Amino acid sequence: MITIYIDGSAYEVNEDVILGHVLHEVKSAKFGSSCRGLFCGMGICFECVVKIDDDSNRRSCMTKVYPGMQVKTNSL
Amino acid sequence: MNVLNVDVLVVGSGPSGLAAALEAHRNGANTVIVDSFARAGGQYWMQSNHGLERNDTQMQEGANFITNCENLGIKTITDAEVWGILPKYRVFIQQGLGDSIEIAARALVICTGAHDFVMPFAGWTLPGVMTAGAGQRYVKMYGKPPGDKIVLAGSGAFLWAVAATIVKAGGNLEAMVESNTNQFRLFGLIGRYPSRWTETRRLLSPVLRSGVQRLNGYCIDYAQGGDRIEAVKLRQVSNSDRVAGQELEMETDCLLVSHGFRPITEMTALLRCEHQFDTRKGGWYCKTDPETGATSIDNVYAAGEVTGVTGAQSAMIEGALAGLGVSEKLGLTRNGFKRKRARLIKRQLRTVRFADGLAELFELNKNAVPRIDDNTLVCRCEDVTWGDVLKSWDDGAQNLQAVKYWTRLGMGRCQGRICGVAVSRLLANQFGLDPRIFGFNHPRLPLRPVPVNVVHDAFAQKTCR
Repeated sequence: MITIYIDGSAYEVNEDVILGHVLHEVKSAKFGSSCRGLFCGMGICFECVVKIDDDSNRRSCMTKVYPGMQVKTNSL
Repeated sequence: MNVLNVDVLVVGSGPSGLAAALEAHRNGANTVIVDSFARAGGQYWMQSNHGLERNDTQMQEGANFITNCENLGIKTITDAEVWGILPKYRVFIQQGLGDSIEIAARALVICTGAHDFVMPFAGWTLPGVMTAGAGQRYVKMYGKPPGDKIVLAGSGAFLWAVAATIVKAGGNLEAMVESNTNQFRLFGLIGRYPSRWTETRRLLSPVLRSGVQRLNGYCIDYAQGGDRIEAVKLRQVSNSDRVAGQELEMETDCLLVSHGFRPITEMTALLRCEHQFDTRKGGWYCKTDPETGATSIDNVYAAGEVTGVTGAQSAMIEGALAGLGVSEKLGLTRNGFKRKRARLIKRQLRTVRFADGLAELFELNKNAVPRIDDNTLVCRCEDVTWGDVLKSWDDGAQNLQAVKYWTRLGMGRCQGRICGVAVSRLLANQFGLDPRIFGFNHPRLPLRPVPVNVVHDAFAQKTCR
């Protein structure tokens, strides 16, 4: 298990899982100003973009988790 | 910037891409594959991280194919997205967050596949509503179901595949809702193709054994909820425009929807390959020579769902044919390739006949599309409503490109991939027109959002040469 931070809160997650899937399970996480969820899950629709560390507009469905990653779900 | 020189660049490592690469490699072409995901396999042969492949025949089949290609020395650059292609053929990819890599290829084989398409409905933007493919990927990659009370709805044989994945993972599938009522004809079709019986049994038996409620002849009306989806309203598909079917409501925390697949044509369209339209093949697809995989553009080949949705079995054969075709074009074929091609073409005829039969059975009836009204969002990125689209139509916007200029539909981050097909179909249904007259959104560079400095660096290099 590793620790990642979603909107400031710490979460213990399995290594090697996809961030978008974690965010779907953590029901408080909503994407963008219109509070969308995971939709296509394969990098096509861009609904699930988040800020990861210093990089905005990262598709969470295409990103693996890594220890200490800081995720901001409403970064627009 | 480093330039990698290859004979053949294959874009996409699903069944068609791997088969194309394998065949090109066997004929002596220096072949490289690029894929946007972390592991090769595409969607059909998706490789999980959970050791699930041990009891998943499909995943295992993919793992074997991938290992075979790796052992032969075929390199797959994963986590790498193509964002630009320049003529004769300079392909720009970004791997992860890194700088651009340029691949100079004598020929391309485009095997970009397809993604689920969903007809819009009120509530389809609520968290918890996702494509059936997203739900399946969730189970395979995350190892658990995406909800506690899942409803799977839409139309197509793919619903069975997703249902099987969910119930095998122990998920609680509340209902599987198929808008068509063609079960007997479906079994009749499968009955005529003994080569598909094993696969059919693999998909059907876990679903039938699980006792999941199956509703045939029902479609989605709309979804309801506050922060997330809470319920879905279904209605019986009526074959008359005037008689309303029975309605029913189901509680759910996860609605998985698939109305079919859309070929991912951005690259073939950017290269100006000729495209054709057939709703049974997913709308717009890249036209290819069925014997060689050649597109209308010199040294550009395509295979798999991007050339029309006909399923993984046919994609694999198309991939092999394109691998042979591109090798022949580059003057690299070995003895016996014509015999091999003839064998593949013969197999393909039967495979495509089966796919066409399935597509006909699951063709989306216009009475089976979800209800929409003027306030329904049809473009999720730019929040364009159906009312906005109708108004632009009245103002004279008569194709997708014009609707885009008028309303911003398709101008957002998805670049019309999600809304384009749906809006063409909705307009066609509304006015009794052929959906092909609306055209498609033409892709522009960059194909995927990349930092501007990455684009700059790639092209700055070009002017220096």
